[in-house]
This record gives sequence, C-alpha cells and structure tokens, in this order.
Amino acid sequence: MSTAGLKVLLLVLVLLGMTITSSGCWDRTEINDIAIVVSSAFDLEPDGRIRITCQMALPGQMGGSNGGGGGTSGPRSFYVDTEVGRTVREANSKQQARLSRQLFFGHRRVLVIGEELAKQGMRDVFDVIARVPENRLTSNIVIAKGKGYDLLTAQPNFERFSAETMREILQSDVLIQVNLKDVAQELSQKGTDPLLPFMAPVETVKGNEHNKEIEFKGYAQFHDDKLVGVITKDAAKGVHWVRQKFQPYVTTLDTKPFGKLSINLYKGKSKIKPSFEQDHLHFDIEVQALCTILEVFGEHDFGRTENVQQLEGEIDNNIRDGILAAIQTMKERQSDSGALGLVIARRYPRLWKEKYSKNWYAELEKATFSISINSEVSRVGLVSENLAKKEEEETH
Amino acid sequence: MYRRFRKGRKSSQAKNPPEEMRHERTPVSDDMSESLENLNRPYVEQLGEVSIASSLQQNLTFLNELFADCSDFVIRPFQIETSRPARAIFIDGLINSAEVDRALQALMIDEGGMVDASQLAERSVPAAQTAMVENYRELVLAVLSGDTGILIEGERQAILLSLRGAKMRSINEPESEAVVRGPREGFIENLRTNTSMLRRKLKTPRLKMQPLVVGKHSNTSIAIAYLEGVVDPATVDEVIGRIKKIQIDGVLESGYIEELIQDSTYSPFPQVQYSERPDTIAAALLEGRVAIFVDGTPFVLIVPTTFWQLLQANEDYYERFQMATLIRWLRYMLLFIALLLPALYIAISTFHQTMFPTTLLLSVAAARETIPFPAVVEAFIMEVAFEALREAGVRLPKTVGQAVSILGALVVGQAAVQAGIVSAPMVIIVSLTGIASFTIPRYNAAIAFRMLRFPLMILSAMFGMYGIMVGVMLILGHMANLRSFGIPYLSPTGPLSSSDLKDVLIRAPWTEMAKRPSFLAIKDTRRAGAAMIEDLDTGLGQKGIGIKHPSEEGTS
Repeated sequence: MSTAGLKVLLLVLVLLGMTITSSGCWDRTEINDIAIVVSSAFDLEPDGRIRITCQMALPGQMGGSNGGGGGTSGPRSFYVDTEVGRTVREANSKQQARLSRQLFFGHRRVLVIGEELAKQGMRDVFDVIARVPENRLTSNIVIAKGKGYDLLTAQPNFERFSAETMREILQSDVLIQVNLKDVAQELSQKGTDPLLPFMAPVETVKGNEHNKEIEFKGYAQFHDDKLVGVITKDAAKGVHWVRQKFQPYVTTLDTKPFGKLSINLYKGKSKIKPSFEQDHLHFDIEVQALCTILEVFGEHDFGRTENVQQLEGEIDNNIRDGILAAIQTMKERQSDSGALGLVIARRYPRLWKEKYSKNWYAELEKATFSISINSEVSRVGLVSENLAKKEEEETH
Repeated sequence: MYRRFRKGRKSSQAKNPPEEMRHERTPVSDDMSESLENLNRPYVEQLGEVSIASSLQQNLTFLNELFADCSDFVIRPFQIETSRPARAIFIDGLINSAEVDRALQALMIDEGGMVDASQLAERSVPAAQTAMVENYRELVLAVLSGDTGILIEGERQAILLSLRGAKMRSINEPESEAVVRGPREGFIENLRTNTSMLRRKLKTPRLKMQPLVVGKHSNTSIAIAYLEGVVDPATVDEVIGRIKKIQIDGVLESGYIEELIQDSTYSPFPQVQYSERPDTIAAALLEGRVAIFVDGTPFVLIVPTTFWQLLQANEDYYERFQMATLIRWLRYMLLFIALLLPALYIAISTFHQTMFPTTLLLSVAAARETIPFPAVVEAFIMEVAFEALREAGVRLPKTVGQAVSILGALVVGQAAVQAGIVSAPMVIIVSLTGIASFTIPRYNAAIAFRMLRFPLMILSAMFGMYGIMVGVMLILGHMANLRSFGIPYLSPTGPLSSSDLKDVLIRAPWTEMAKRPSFLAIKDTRRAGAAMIEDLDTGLGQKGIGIKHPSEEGTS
C-alpha cells in the first residue's frame, strides 16, 4: 500500500477510534451502581400528596461471593425507603438524593396501591408507569388493605422480599392474574372494571418474633378507577364464573344430608349468553364443573349413585350462591367486575355503541340473570367410605 | 548484476543481496572448467546448469568443493569389475547402509563387460528404484534427500539408488484429531510415508500426486494430490500456479505454504484446512478438493476450504447420522457461545439489566457486590488468565503442565473468587466460553473465534447489545466476502445452494448424499450408484430376500 493510502487509513482509524471513545458508554451502569427496586407502593397522604415507598434489594445481604447467607436468618435482604411528593417523580427524586445508587425500576415486579389512593381513583398513577420505558407493564398490581407501605415492610418467611411473596401468590392458580397492561386496558375500556387482588399483612408468630406474612383476601372491585369494595369468599369464586375465567378452588359445603364436606373443583367452564328483554338485559349463565371429594365428615357411601347425584345438587347450589352473591355486589357497588359489558360489546358491537354503553351501570342494575349449573363429581377419592368405619355397623 | 560480481566473490556468498533470490540463469555450458568454477551458486536449483563431467576427477573436485566442511557427506571409492573407478556418494544417516552395501557389492563383482551407466543400472544394481541423472541439480537434490549417487569414470550420467534409511517417527494416533470411532493412524513427517497412507485409502490410478519443490535452502518436497475426473482441473492448476510462485528460503511446516497461497492474508479466518488424518484427506479428495502434502510435517493442507467444513469432524460420517446431526447442532450453538457469551454478559450486565430474569439479576448483583472492577475489566482479566493457562498448558513439558492446571483451577477458579477480585458468574462465563471453543473440531477455526471474542467484548462494553450486533454484522460481512480458491467462504449457505445443506444443517444419511457438494466446481457429481440408492430408499434400508425367524408371526 502506498504511503499516502496508509496515511488516509491511519486518519480514518484515528477518527473512528475517537468517535467510539467519545460516543460510547453514555448509558453504561454497572450492576453495583443500581438500586434494584423489586416493588413499590403508592399511597395517598391526608394532605393530598403521594407517598412513594420503594422496596429495594440489598445484594450485599443476599450472600454473594462467600455463599450461604440470605433467607431470613441474617439481616434483612431488602431496604424500604419512603418519601412524599406532589407527584410520583418528585418523591422519587427526593429519594434519589439520599441513595448512593441509581433507582432502577426495570425489575419492579409488583406495584402496590394503597386503599386510600385506590378509593380516590388510580388513573393518574398509570401515567408515570407507562411514560418511562424502564417500567415493566407486565408487573403485577395489588391493592393493599390500609397502607401499601405496610405490605412492603412485611418480612415473609419463605421469600427474601414481600414483593416476591406477593408475586408468587398472584401467579398461583388460585386467582385471576392481572398485570399493569391488563388494568390499563380495562380502565380505558367501557363495559368492564378492573378486578384486582386485595392483599393484607397478617401477623404470624415464629418463636418469639412476630412476623408479617401477606395474605390474599379477595378482590378489590372498582367503579371506573375508584375502589368501591372488596369481594371475598364464595362471591370471589362467583366472580370467576361470571368473568368466564375458571380457576380451580376448594369449597367447603355444609349440607343437610351429608354434613360438612370439602370439594375440589378442578375443571370448569362457564358461558354467558346475553338476550334482550323489553326494558332490560338478560344474561344466561351456563356453568359446567368437574369436582372431586376431598374430605367428608360422617359416614356416607359415595360409591352409590344416588348419593353422588344428591351431592352434585348441593355443589350446584353452592356455585349458584356464589354467582348470585357476586352479581349482588356488582349491582350494589355499580361495578362491572364481571366484564359483562364486554360480553355485549363483543357480540353486539353496534347495539352496545348506540344503546348500552352510555348508561351501562344503570343497565347493569336492571339486568336479570338465569343460572344453570351442571356439576359432576368425577372422582370420589381413593376410598368411597371412611377407612376407620366400624365393621359392626356394616353387618346390621 | 550477479555475474558482474561473481568472480571476485568466491568466499563471500553470505553478502548476497536479497534480490539475488531472483537469480539469473546462465546458459548451460559445455565447458566443464567454466561450469565447475561456478561454486558460488547459492541454491541447489541453480546447479541445473552444471552437467556431470565425464572425468571422475573433475566431478570429485566439484563435489568436494561443493560439500566442503560437510562432515556427513561421504564419498566412497570403489571399482566396477576391478578395473573401472567409480564413486558412491551419499549423506551419512540418510541411507540404508545394509542395502547400499549389497548394491555396491553387486557392482563390484559385476561381469557384464564395459557397458554404459544406464545399462549397468539395468543389469547389475539390485535396487528397487534407480534413476539416471545428467546434471548436478538432480544429483545433489537426490543425494541430499537420501539417495545414493554412483559416479563412474567416463560416464556423463550418474546412477541414483533410492535406498533411503533415514530415521523417522513411527505411525501414531494423531494427537490433534482424536476420534472414538475411525482409523487411528496419522501422518508422520515423511512425505513418502504420508502419500503411501493416502494411496492405501484410494487405490486408483486416478489419484494423482504432482511433485513440486519449494524453498531455496530447504528444498522441501511437496506433493499435490487430487482425484482426476472428480476435481475441477482449474483448481489444480491454480494450486500448482500459486505454489510455484512461492519464493522463500525454507518451508518448515505446511503453515508456510498455507500463508503463502491463501486468498486473504489479513483475515482472522483460516482459508485452508489442515489435517493429519489420511481418512480426512481421502474424504476431501472424494469431494473434489485438492490436498497439499509437505515433507517434514504431518499436517496436510486441503483446498478449497469453506467455513462449514471447519465445523465438521470426520467422525460425523462414521457414527449414526442422527447423533452426528445433534452434535453438529450442539457445535453451532457452542460456536455462538464461544464467540458471544462474554460479550453478551458484559452488555446485559452493564447496559440492559432488564434482560436478566429478576432472580438471576439479584444473584449476579449479589456476586458482583464486592467486585472492585467493572464487568469488562473483570472479563478481560479472566479471559487473559484463561488464555495464559491454556498457552502454558500447551507449551510446557507434560510433567509441569499438571502443576499449571492445578494452579489455574485453584488460584484463578477459587482464590480469586473468594478474595472478591472476580465474581463467580464471570468464572462460569469464561470457563463455558473456553469449553465451547474447544468443541470446534478444527483448531485453526477455534483460534479465529477466540481472537474475535476480544473486539466483541470491547464493543459490547462501549455500546451494549448494539455494539455486539454491529460487530457480528462486520464479521459476517467479512466472511461473506472471503474466498478460498475462488469458492465463497460461506458456501453452501453464502450463495445458497440448497441441495448441499444436507451436509451442513444436518448430516444426512449416506443414502441421501448420493451427490457430491455442488458448490465446488467438480466434474463428476455422482458419488453413489443410483440403483443402490433407489433400492435403499424404497426399502428404507436393506431388506434382502428376507430371512425368516423361527418364532416370527404366521410361521407357527
């Protein structure tokens, strides 16, 4: 190569080198320089400002290079910091001023919203969640009983952070999973209201220590973006049927012919058919369920068909009660937790647009329901009778 | 220029300027006294101009001066038929003394009367291979290669007896290409032994081996082997042309030839494959490639070479095709790991922490908590330590090598982690990368990827994922641009030749590989008989006439 060509090449190389060294690395952050927020809570202060609570992982306490450590035996593996501000970001920047590491929300897996804020309406906080790309829209959302702060300071026994506990509970198939994206969608749509997990810290005693675990209490019902009530127990299961989202559950019946027994509903399906009456809507709810018997008090032989059929009737009643209770709360609280509006909107989009969407809550209150249930006890368990049943009784 | 200074410089050859490499040829001269004066010819090649004189004395003077101070050069005087003076010349240690003794004995008691040298060679020399030469170039070259030269008074020809007996290594299992299943013989340092091993694999006169000599001082013999009728003759011509262009003082390993004939000098990728296994070479020839044997090294070159070829091991074709296919996929995956894993780790841990699963991020964060260096520096420390350990392990005597591996495992693997200098995840990443790079069957291909890992690490440390992408694009672009003897380096994926993918994406069973790879311009594409293939395809294997088993259904 000629010397002139070499010079040009050298110049190009130097220039390239300069562009690389002067432009790269601008957003480089080592893992040691970020404060990994695993969960944060938004609460409303009495003066109208917003309290932000961040639960951050303390990697140094989680046992790194030296192995071991972590869990609950050592010092806490997380740190909770809270601050008040007029906006979420103001509170965050106040917090940042006293943190040696950059707040990093990329791994926030659970967002907790305090009861008060939820009652006032939570639409505003969704802005800050979506405005920064770092925030995950797939993270779970939880409504806290009382202050969200209390959920974050709880020290669960199994997991390292209460956020992890909440997430594990939310991901179990006991309840309907919702993430931020779903909630945002439901808030933006008419004809459905969010149905969010409602959680509360509960005291447990471990030796002399008092620990706070976190428990799933039921679902928070919303009217638009405002919390209007909590739905629990059988009604919570009933909402599953109305939402057409079956999740396996265990229910305990107290029946006349059989006494107390626990049933596991492991497979189910529900269908809703709307129809139009003269001045109101009518919904036909059709439920199919498969169950097994888990526990029976008293000596009943479920090897006999008539017993099983009778039991199935009792299960039908139990499911019906749950659904009716759920519908009752929906009507009372003016909350379409069952997403019934969507059923209309999807089947009859024009009718929905022209007639029902304008005054949906009033329509919902007028609506009538008919419920048909077909449950089937497919398995009675390994034994059809109590093993310890006395032999004499069988002889007479 | 050379001739001008020639006369005054009989004892100062060392001062020859380098351009003298391109020597001028002096016309062949019949005047012996003039020829024999030309002792300052630096290279054996130039002796081609000097004919053997009929006077034995003149020849001896010339040889004595040529081989002055060569203690291993022997001139053995003897007489044919007790009256005709002759001389045997050879290099001590390169001949088989017993055989030469017998040949000389036969000549001494010869009673065939006065005949000329060629008749003598025909009638009275009990050697399998003899030749007649007329000039000093051939004589000296043959003698230096281990032949015995016989010079006879009054003859202008010398007889060459090929009774070689130099000590050489025995045939061993090739260390750089071990196999579980497959032939266990490897080439050795002797060219003739090596070509004979190939000949044993391909017993056909169509296996051609063209001889060449390269190296002004080393005069290294080279054989270019190919299967006539399969190979593209243009490729053979190209190989011979490129080798003939080589002008160098010595060729000590086939690596010299490789560097001097490859298409792109500055590419990190090898454009010539080498192997020390006769079966690999035979397979390459059957595919229509050309092999270059170089005397003095067990490594034989194969051209043209494509990228995918470097990821194929000979054993792929000896074991069942399903397993070979799976192993190939594993190799392709590990190739990416060897090239990208440290760079990906750096990019994700310093730019895209969101890409880690949360629990993994927490583990990594916990491990990195006490580490004083940024991830790049940490990665470089470990990669350099690993490369150092590897190099030390290769270069050191075997007894010391063990100490190195213990030190490496103990000091780097454990102490450094416990001391909090490097994090455990980084040790895992580096060892994974190391293991992955060892799974590439061709060592020279593995080297390329090991080298390219470092620039990618720098790019990822500065630009994150974007940097890696740009780096990979550059590498891919470079590879797409490479040629090996005219064949695109990424063939058959580069310019797509879909029928050849059956030996790249998978290793198809032999019944499906009835045709040779078509991306190589070859003359005969059919490798398996059409009738057999059809038979095997319809029956999904050989069924024969059907041998009944006594307990088979319906026979009771």
